[in-house]
Amino acid sequence: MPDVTVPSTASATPPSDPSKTQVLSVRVLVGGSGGVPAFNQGSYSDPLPVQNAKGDRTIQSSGCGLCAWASALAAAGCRAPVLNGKTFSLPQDAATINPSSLLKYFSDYALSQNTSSAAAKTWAQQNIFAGSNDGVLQNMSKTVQAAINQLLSLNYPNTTPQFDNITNASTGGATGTDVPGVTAALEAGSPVILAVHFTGSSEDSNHQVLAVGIAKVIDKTYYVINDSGFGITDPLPKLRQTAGHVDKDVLGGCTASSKRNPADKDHSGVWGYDSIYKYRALGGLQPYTKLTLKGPPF
Amino acid sequence: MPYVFHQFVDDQGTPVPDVTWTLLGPGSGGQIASGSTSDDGNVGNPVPAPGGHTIQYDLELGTGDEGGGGADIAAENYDL
Repeated sequence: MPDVTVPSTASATPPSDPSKTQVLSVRVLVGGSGGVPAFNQGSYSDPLPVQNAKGDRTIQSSGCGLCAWASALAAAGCRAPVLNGKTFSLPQDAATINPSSLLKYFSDYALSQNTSSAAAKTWAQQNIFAGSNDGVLQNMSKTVQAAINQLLSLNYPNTTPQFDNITNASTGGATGTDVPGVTAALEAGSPVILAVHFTGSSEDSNHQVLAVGIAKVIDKTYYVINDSGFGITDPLPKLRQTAGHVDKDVLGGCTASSKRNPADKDHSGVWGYDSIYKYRALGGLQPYTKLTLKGPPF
Repeated sequence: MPYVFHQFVDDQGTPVPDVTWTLLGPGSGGQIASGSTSDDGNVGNPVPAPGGHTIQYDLELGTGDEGGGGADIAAENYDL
C-alpha cells in the first residue's frame, strides 16, 4: 500500500487547493483514423483449417488470437487481396482486413507458395496454422511473418515492410504487474498479443487478447485490451463515455484485470483474468498504423 | 483543531472516489482514522496535533461491464 505525507492545517476549513496525489491514468494507442479496430469472434463462423475430432472449430470457437492479428493489421490499413493463380492483387474496392478475410489470406498464401492444394494444406499446417488446441496461427512463425510482410507490400507497394512477431515475446505476470516488454512495445506504438489466464482455471492460459493501452492504478499497471471473446470488445467507446477523465469502473472492464467480468454467474461472480501467461508484440507496423499512446479525451 | 486534507485525482486532475485510506500520525504515530473516500475523493480529518501526517491508500478497479456479447469459447491452451 503506497503512502503520501501531508501537512496538517490549523483551520477546520479545507484549503482551496489541497494536496493532490494522482492515482489513476490511462493511455491508449490512437492513430490518424482512431484506435485499433476490435473484432468480436462470435460474429465469424468460418471453419478453421486445423480441426479437432468433432470438426467444429471455427473463428467463433477458437479465433481469439486471429482476431488480435486482424485488429493489428486493420489498424495498419491492410485490405484483403485476391489470389489469381499464384499471384495476389488488390482490387480497388478491397475491404479492410477482418478475421475472416485474414484467415482466407493465409490459406491463399499457402496456395501461392506450393504446387498443389494438397501440398499447400500440409505446408500451411506445418508453417502457418497451429494445432487443434492452440488457436489459429503459429504466432511465432517466420512464415506468418513473411505472409504479413507480403500483405503489407500489397497494400503499400513502395515500402519495405519489416513486420516483427519474433523479437519481443516472453512470459508475463500477474494482472496488475508491469511487464516491461509489453510496456515498451506499447510505448513504441506496437500492439501486443496477451495470452491470459482465467481466474481459477487449471490451464496455463485460456484466451488471447490484444493489448492496446496502459492504465496505471496507483503503483499497479493494467493493460487496456481489445477482447474478441469476453466483456468489452472495444475499449475506446467505453473510455470515451467517461467524458475525458479516468474512470476506475470503466478501467475494470477495459483492462486485462481480475475484475473484468465479475457478473458472470457461471464463474461464481469472480471470473476474470488473473495473469498474463505470455505475450508477443506485433512490431514493425507503426510506420503504417501511425499509432501512439494518448491520454484522454480519446 | 488542525486538519489533514488531501485529494486523490486522476491524470486530468479529477477527484477519484472510493480510495481506501488510513491516516497515520506524525513520526511513528499510530492510526488516527481510516475509511474510503466517497465525497469526490476528498480526505478531510481533524487530527490531535500539527505536523506531517501519512496517508496510506489503496484503490480497487471497478466492476467493469459485461457488454460485448462474448463468443462461445472452449478453454484451450495457446502457445505463443
